[in-house]
Amino acid sequence: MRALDRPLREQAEAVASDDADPAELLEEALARIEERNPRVNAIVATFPEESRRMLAEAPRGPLYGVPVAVKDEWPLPWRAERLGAAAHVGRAPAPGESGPYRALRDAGAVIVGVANMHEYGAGSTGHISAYGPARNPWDTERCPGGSSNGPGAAVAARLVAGAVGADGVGSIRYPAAYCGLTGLKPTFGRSTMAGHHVPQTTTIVSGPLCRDAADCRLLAGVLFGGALDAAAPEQLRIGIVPGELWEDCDPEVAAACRGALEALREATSGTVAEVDIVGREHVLISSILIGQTEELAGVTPERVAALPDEVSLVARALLRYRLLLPAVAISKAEAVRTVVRRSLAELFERVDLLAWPTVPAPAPPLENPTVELPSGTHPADFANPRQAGIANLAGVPAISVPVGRSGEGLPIALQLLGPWGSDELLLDAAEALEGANGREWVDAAPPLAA
Amino acid sequence: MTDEGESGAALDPAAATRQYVTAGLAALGLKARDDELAVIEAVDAVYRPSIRALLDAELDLVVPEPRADMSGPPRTLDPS
Repeated sequence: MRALDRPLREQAEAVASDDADPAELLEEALARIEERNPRVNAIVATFPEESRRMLAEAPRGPLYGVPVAVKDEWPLPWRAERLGAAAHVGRAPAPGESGPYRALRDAGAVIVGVANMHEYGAGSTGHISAYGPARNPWDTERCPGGSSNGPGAAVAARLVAGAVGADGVGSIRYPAAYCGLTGLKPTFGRSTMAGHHVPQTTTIVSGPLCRDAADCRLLAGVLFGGALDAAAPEQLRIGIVPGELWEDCDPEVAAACRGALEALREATSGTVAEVDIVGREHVLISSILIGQTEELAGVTPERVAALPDEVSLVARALLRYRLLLPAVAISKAEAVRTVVRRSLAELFERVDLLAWPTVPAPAPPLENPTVELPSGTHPADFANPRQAGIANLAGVPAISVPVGRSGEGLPIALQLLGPWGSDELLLDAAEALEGANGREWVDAAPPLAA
Repeated sequence: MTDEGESGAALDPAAATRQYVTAGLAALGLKARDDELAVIEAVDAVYRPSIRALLDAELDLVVPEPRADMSGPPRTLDPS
């Protein structure tokens, strides 16, 4: 197997032990991007000279010499973020040393490309971007998930073995689920957010998208500023929430996730019990309202009016819509947040983890990003936050783990959520689940990368 | 988000939304093209029920979480 096709940690080990030449690895990654990226549109910018300079100056850190990609949400010293958009709303960003850049640089990693993202981060599908949509490597006519569509597609297509995304309402977990990857949404505040364009955020976190939990542990440790310990989880108390989180899902998704849940319970000699979350019925809209309005501080009517036609019709319409949202709804969403946080804190005294499908249906078509659920046909952007928004609303960590494939060959994923600060436990549980599945789903590569 | 006219009589939701949006945007000095209005109406049709349910929710007894820190659990589980 070529070094570039190995998992992130194995690339790091190969370079550290002189089994792989980091300069050759970098050139191979750049060549791979040039050859394979046109099919998935995951990487929107490369900068070989800056990448080579990073390698030349790289310290012998935990990711020394390993190529990685960074979402178009983070400034780099040689390139400002563009948020997948043709124009910014307000002050134009400047190049700079974002937190993820510094963390990767100090770990010795080599940033080989900026990865695509859903325009302004405002979508769970990844089908809208000024660069054109990223495409799902499992089926290039399908959505890769958003808003970290580029990181997801880049890792799944084996352009890189790890990428840094950001998650404000599920934006790491959706592409992880759609692309058959593992994606960690860290506890709020644990991963670096320096230099982000929404410094006042209470929902967004940086986080890793990788093939499996061990790689996510390595990359998350870099973003956290300290390695994350691993342990074998035992007697996990897993809570499941009856109702739409499980029942209003594509039957194939629900079945695969129930199978994975049972495998995890058995592997850890654990238990599964039904629990409920107070305020659950308002989580979807509350997470969207808070997540989507946090960044409005820099928006003015004049700036919205000045947006050019190159900004998508959807974004121009949504920005206008957001200006008209009733303030009382935002205030009530904050009250829901309080109720949900208290309820989760009580629940996590009785269970170690909560579990339900990351997304209710596999990746929808790029041309029609809607999903068929028992309750009817819905835009994926409406159905997905119901599953993912609570982690951002409450600040708790969550991880998406691949657990199966649909009849059409599309990845299916289970989401695990834990109490604040339990990122290590989530990674432990994900590894236990991988083991219980014989690593079938984390080691699989899509046809274009096989 | 607006289901009633000035008189309180029920309006067609799409018409109510268009009225609310066009008037609201005009108050902000903004216009929306027909295609933008169509997107707004479609989005509003999807999210209106959830927003309406939130507006109707009885949450006045919820004791706020002062200086909430999202990196950890609420400081007190029982606000009383």
